[in-house]
Amino acid sequence: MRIVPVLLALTAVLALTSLSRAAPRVPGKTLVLLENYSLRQTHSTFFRQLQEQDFTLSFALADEKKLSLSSYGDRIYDNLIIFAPSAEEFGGSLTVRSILDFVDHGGNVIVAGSSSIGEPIREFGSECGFEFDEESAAVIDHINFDSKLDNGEHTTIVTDQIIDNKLIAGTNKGRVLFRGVGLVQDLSNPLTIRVLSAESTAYTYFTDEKISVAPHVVGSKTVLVGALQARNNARVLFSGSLDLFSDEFFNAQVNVAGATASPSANRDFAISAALWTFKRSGILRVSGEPKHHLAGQTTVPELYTVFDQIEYSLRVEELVDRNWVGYQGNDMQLEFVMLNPYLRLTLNNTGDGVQHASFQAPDVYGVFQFRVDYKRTGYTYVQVHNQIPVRPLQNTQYERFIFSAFPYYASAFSMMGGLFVFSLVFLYHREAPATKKN
Amino acid sequence: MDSYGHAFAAFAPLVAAGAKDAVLARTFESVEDILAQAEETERLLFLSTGLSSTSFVIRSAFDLAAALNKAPPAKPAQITKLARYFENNVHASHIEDVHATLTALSTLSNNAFFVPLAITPVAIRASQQSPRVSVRVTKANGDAAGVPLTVKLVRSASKPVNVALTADASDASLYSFDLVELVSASGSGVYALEISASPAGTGKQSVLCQARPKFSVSPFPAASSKAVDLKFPAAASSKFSVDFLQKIIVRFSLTDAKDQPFIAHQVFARVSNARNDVEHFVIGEHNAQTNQYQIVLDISAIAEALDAASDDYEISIIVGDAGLASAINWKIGTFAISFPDSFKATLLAARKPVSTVGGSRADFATKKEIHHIFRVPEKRPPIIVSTVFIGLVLAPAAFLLVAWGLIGANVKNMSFHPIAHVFHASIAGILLILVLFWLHLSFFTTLKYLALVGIVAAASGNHTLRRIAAAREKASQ
Repeated sequence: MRIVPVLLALTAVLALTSLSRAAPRVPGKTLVLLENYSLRQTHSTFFRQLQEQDFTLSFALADEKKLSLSSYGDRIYDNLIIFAPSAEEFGGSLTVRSILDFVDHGGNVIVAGSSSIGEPIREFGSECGFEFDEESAAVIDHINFDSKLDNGEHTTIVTDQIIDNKLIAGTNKGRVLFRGVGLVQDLSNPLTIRVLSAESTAYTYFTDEKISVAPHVVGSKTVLVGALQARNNARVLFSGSLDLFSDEFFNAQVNVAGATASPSANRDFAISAALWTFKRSGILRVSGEPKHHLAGQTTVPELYTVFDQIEYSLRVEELVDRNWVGYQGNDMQLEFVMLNPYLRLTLNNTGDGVQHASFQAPDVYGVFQFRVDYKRTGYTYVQVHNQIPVRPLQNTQYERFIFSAFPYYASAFSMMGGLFVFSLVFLYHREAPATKKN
Repeated sequence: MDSYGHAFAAFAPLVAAGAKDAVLARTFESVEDILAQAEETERLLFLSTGLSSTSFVIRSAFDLAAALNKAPPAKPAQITKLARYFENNVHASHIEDVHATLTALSTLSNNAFFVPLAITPVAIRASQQSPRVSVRVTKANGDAAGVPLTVKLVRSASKPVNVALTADASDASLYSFDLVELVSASGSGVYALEISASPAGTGKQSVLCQARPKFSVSPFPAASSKAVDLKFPAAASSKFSVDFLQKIIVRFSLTDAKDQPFIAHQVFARVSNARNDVEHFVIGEHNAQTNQYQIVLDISAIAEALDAASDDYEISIIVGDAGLASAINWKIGTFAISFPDSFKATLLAARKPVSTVGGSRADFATKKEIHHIFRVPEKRPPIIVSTVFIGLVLAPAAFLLVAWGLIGANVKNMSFHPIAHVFHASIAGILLILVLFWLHLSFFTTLKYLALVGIVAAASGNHTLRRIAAAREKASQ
């Protein structure tokens, strides 16, 4: 009873990794828009550290006439730094729309604000899920302020509420100096990340006005530095403070009442956040195609049967110091999905970035997908989808000798035996002579 | 721009050697144009060509001015801004930038025409314990200014007061005065200090000075029956139980050391719960008549912010102001706030569902594993039942054999013709094939074998049955 299975044997393999397969172009071409040229000196350490990391910086004033981010639809730069908080408009063809296009095409942006924010920066922020607070408002903290650098308004604040993520903020924890405006995070946008927040005693308001309405942002929900990793993995970093990147804050000692002075963490924090934004850390890619096969075999089959033992493996690499090395993470998950996930398993990192899982196919047939959707704060997204049909059991694959069915078999065989014996008796029976007498 | 610098630098020795030419004078006048074209912000002034270029042009301009013995045609405000620009760059890390900065600052500090002064606050917060305010007045390069100063203390509402600043004996650039004594009449607040050093033609600058009052926070008994007196800075010793229909009202007044009412910029109550990472702020209102601050925590109004989670919440009062010696962060106590489940359910149900377009924040964490639950096989009857039924279905066959035995069934008519053997063997074969089909043959193999054996069975059967029929006919005749 071998019926040739007429099953749809279509295997569509979708490897949706939006990462580019090649290493990112090094050095990264970066356009730096400045409020004025003196920023080149006052923020020289920040720029020099970027240049040491092989970024090519092109400096321009924000209102320079020939500014452009793309040429015939192609990005000219990999990254953009906007250190022009109060710019009312950009020069050349640069508009908020063109910067958003730049991000849509995978460009990364660092934007620094201050207490005076121009309209384009504000608009760009709200498009990316961060609202800058009102013009001339400042983050104030009467408890955690720097007693040396502050001008008496308690707006040069100190915070150690750095995101616990070594990719974005680096490993060196400390206190960060900040002077500027607060950001309001759009919590309904899951792509936004709070990178640096204020202490719970902080608030943002106008320094010279009595507080009559509740401030927009109060306490530890005040975002000082926020980031967005778009769905195309483009990264945007918003800082409410331009001074955070300055040589003055990089080299400063933090003096808070009641605590000993210590060097500020600004340098490590700012450089690490910038390198993250410009895709020097937290980059994952899938190496080759994911492999899946029956246990004990090595070839990828056209389809699976329910109850099959399936092996799945995938190699993921991380960019570390510009080399692709096996990803160390141990929390990737595989889903086996037909409309809904039927299985979700944590992949086992078997070394050198190979993520492996072994599981039994569910007793449901249909067209399934192996799906690895890996999203972690700080890492680029990994999305791998492979489609595969799972068919029901063949007729010969069911259980054959069920004891409960033996009465049926016994009756069948007794009938067959009976038939044979009866046919002999029927054909060759000879009547007894006694019968002949009658 | 640099060409102007080179021109100035080239002309300076000429002038020193005694040359007098209209060209020299005209070139010198161009300093005014250069400064007019420079980048100018609220605080800074510099040439768009950069730090070293600005430094070079300014140095050579002052050299030429010295040779001509004529003040450069620049406004004092412009030179002050220039000095501030260079001071801004003292953190520069490039050796070239450091050189440019230091030489320019030196030129601006040592010239016969205009020496901009820098006023740096040293101690700008005065209090009862440390009443003196001190500022450092220096030239751009950090040397003591060494000029008499006119100092005015200004508060927006009152008249400016003239202050006599005394230079520190050990440090000629450090000036200080007793602020608390000076402002004892007008009270605490933020003052501006206007310092001018007119003989050197310096402009005015101001720094903020703060009087530093001592604070007492005195709680007022609340109007309700459950009022509790609190003493700053101690927290209430017992825990309060509050339900969602009640209000917590905190009243207190702020006075400075002279018992004058003080109005602070930040008067917030912070409701927090470390376990849920919940934090909510309520703003205090100041009543001008009674001089009391009142913070009303209406539990039903803040339920939304607390997710209506029944738990222990900590409430602290934060009072901060730029004029405060040290801000107050006073934990007043722990409050067990309870919300009925029905209230919480209604509140959470009324919440707008968070849009899931583009995924949710939960996607960024490890998700719960899902394991497939396989269908449980149907329960089968016990073996004894099957065994009994096997016996029952075999019983008729057994009965047949026994009954045949009794009535004397036999096969005595069997003739030993070879074709008859083939026929019976083929019948047995057909039955055997059916057994094999059950055991391991597939349907199509079975059909194939059956077809072969069936042909033999049909042919031999035809022959055998015909022979038997013929024999019977013969016997009956």
